[in-house]
Amino acid sequence: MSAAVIFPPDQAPTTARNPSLATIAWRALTRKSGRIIGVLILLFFISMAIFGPMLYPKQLPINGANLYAPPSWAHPLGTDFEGTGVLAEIVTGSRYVLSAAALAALFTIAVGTFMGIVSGYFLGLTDNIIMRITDFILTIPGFPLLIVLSTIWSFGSPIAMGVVLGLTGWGGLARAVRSQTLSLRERGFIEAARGLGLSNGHIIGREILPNIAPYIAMNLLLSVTGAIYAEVGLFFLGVIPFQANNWGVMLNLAFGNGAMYTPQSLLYMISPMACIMLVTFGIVLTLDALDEILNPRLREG
Amino acid sequence: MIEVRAIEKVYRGGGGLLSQRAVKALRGVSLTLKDGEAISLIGESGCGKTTLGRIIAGLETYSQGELVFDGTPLSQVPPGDRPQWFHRVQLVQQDPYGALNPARTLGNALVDPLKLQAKHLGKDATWTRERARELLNLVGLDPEATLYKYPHNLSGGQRQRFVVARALTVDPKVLVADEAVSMIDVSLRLGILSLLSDLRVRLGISVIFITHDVAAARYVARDGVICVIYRGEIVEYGRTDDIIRSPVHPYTQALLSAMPVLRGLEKPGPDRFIPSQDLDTQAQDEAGCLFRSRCRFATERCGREHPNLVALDGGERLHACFYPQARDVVPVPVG
Repeated sequence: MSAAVIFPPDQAPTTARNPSLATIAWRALTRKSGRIIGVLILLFFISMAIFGPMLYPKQLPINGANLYAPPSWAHPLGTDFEGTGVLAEIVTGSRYVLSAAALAALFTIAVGTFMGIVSGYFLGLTDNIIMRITDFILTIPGFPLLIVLSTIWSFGSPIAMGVVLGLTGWGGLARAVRSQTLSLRERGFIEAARGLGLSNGHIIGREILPNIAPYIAMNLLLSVTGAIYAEVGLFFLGVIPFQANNWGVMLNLAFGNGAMYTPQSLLYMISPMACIMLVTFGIVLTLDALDEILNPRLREG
Repeated sequence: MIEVRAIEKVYRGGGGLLSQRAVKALRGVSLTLKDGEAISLIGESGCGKTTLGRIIAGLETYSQGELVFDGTPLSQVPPGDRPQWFHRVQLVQQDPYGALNPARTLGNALVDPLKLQAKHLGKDATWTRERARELLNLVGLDPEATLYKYPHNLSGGQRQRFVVARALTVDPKVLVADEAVSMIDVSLRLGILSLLSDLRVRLGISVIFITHDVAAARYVARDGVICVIYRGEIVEYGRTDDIIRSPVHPYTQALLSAMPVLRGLEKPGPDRFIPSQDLDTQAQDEAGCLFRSRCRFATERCGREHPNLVALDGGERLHACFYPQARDVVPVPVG
């Protein structure tokens, strides 16, 4: 039996739609100046990583007559122990660092979220199997593993680095997402969706995922930071043989070539560290806006 | 038509591996609900009325007995067809805040089940949109003002109306309203209750109303039946007016005695009594009448024999007491 039609069928559909995601994001970003600064910093580094290396030759020139030079028009950040421009090294090194970090974070988020939701939603045997795998991943010491892997695998490509960092990093997120799913699946709207005959895929993708989206987005940016620290740390310690230039390698070479003992090398030492700090800073400022973008309750006000 | 045949529900739990203690939530409950009929299940917290509602809505399994819809028992339905089979019963939850996804617009929440239904009926997207508006109008919500909002933009009463609209997307034949107004502002309750009555009259949907509020139970089932449940058993069953005017089971009398009295306008019924003890859900006394420890009229026979549900004076009224006697427990007007 069908309901009586009270609503006249020829009435024009409404146009009072909700604002699009882009509008919501724009509003959230412009609400606080810090958020805009954060996004600008991130955009700056992203474009540096994408377009920067195109401006320089593949092999940066060495100039033995110009070691540890002070800032000049040709070398705004001075030169290093070989007379190569520090700015050129920063720009060409950013691609490896940032792309490996982005890849590692994407991998962590994708695998961690998927494993966590599936495990928390279906429970039972699925949960048991996934959680045992997660425990195994959690117990792998990532740092020694990278050292061991570096003996058979040269991390010349950021893809290899990103995959290894991502592979060892998703365990914690999977556990956190699982616990959030466990509490969400008992909520009334999940039960209602089941009662209405909506599929499991629908419930996971449309009902559960939007509710943990702010948390996942936050983790995406936090794991970018974590991945940057991890890879730069590895290169800095010199436990991984390197072929390409990047910020970690710069730091390693700086320490290895006596940059510690001369005040002229200050910019050479500080530049890569400042870049890492700036990226982290940009991420933290951007995070502030993400929660508001993804959580409808925070949007108004 | 829904038939509940001697349904039992036992929750296993507690006490470790060896000394498992089972909690009996339902002990052989039987009910029949015709299309378009209203029934109110009343009883105190922990008596099993919610479990019964959830079993009927297909959200809980049962240990014994049979659930029969229109002559087809559930046990004969292949497991794959059961979700579709249970479409005809929709649960309206107690908490309209938890029943709606805070991260999605109300329009999406309504359109998703409608899309399934459209596929099922072979309709197109236009039908889905029209139907969403139609349902919102039906429950007294303005579609333009509702579809693009989020749940937190609505009041409790509006949310509960929306929950009802969502339940109607799959054309159910039965609505199970589990304490559907207990979390709503008092001033908005009557609106929801009359909406349920209205849907029953207009669409022929049966309503199972679960509550511990006698007044609400009476309002929803004013031309239907009331079923009083105590510790997983039906103790009294009959037409709403009969039960309210002349309850014969002491437990029903205790429930009705607990109705608040408007001092100055009403005075307590002359025979009213309030049980001294609270319900002990861990009670293990299985022999005899389950209510006897709290019953003022219990005799030695009540501790020895278990009273079964029997007809009162050969009529359709049922009770489970050895000494049925009508008592005036409902508040009466002064003067």
